[in-house]
Amino acid sequence: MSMVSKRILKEVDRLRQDPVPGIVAEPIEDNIRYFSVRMNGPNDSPYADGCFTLELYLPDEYPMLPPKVRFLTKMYHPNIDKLGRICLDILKDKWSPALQIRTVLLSIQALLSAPNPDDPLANDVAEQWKTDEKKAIETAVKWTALYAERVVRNDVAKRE
Amino acid sequence: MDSLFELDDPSDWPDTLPHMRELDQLLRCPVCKEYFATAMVTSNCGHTFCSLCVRRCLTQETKCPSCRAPLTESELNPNRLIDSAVHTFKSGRLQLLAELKTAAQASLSAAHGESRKSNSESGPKRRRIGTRSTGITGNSDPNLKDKMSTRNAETVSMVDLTTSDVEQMITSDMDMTNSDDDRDVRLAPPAGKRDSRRASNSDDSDFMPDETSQPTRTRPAAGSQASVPCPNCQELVRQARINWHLDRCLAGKSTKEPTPVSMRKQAGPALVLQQASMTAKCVLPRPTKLAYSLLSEHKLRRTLKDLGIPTKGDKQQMQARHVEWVNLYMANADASVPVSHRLLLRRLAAWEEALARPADSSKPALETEGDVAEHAAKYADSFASLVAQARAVRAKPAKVAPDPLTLPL
Repeated sequence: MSMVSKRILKEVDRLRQDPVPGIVAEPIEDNIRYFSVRMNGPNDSPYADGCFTLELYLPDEYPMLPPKVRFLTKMYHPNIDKLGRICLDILKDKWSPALQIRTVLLSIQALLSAPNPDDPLANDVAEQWKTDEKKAIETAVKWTALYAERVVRNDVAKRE
Repeated sequence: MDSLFELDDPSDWPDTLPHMRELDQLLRCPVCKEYFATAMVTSNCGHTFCSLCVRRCLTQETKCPSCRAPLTESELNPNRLIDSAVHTFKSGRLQLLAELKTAAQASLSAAHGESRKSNSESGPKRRRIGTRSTGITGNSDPNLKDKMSTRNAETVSMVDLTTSDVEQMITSDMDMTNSDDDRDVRLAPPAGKRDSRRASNSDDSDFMPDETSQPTRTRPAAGSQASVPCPNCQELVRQARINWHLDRCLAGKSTKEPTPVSMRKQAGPALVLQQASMTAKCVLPRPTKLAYSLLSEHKLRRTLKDLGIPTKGDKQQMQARHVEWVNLYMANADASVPVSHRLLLRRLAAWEEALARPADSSKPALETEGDVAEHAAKYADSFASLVAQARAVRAKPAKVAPDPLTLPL
């Protein structure tokens, strides 16, 4: 077990020293298992202009069990529901202990640029995505401007 | 924190040495990100993991952690070469890193004489682990041949050192602080170094109470391995046993040596260690996997008792403990130098302690109801002021709202 928390320390250290481009993941205060994540939307996706916040929690059994990740920013995406829960195979049955925080966050970023309406979590969004993709993407851009931007502004306001 | 956990990582190598980074990465287990401890290779997909890591993974899911191909424990095979490679790499790593650092410093400082001076000052301090017993001091010139030969000498001494570490752990009953050395202890000695160990092994056997027919056995000399013909029956007998053999040969008794003695002489360090733990009366039976749902709590408790592991807690706790014990035991059996079962029991206790601790302290904030209540009590004042603010804001629009509405009119 001490070996496992050592692995977490190592991952934190690596994330700090060699961060994934466009992603900042930091443990919250004194809890090494609970992370606050800020993720930039991938370029050439409806989410490109937004910076999204997520929370990530490593269960006691990590890395035998996957981390729990959730969007805190409201998202218009067929694989992300209104509670921010993410439908991603490696967070569920395709998890492997050889994966790590870095790979999980990269996969989530990739999910933003490649929505999969055939395996939906938010049914209405997926339906919209299938019937009228152009309009769905418009909505996603709108939501990004509405909610993701505001997250950034709020942070600036707090700092001031 | 840094003193507790020495975080070694492939990124310790400078950017200018990508191959060393890669090699460092390759010698690490994909699951725990540490150097392989008792490397096991999977027979169908060929991936390598620490024995304990892969066994823990397989209790969770019977798939290869790297490629998710179906995998069972019977498809794991020890990979001794990796163990030896890791051992050698680890012993050279710190020294090499320190020398890279001093070389970089030397190239930085302009005056040549000045740099040499600083090298000899900082050298021994930095390489305190790498050069534990080598003869070189402050040798900043990377002379490869010199380095190779000294590293060999160092490996030998480190192997001796780990042997004595193990003995200390076996003999000292209550000392829990040694558990950090576990990984070193489990390392395989490089195959070529076995011979140099033998001399120390015969010393080791003095360490243990002798249960054979030689109550006052003196320390055998190095030449005691040589065989000499018996003057009576011409049979080749080892020099150390010739007097005993001759006594029995002349008396017409069986000259067949008792098995424990002959086994000890032939066996490598593993057997010596097993015997050491036997004399400490701590050999525990090999556990088998159980179908827990078919066992009552009472029956499971009895099984744990028979296995010699703690029986406290409810069924769920006992089940988790048994699973971990099977993994620890089997991984230890895979190791080329297994540790004593007493040490294994300590690791089991440490595992259980670590498992119990996070439940109290490192759950995310406000996970339990008690936390919520505590949080509410702590911030009652700020909640109250926030509520007041919100009410004020809600009250205001009622007054202000009519104005913009009336303006357009």
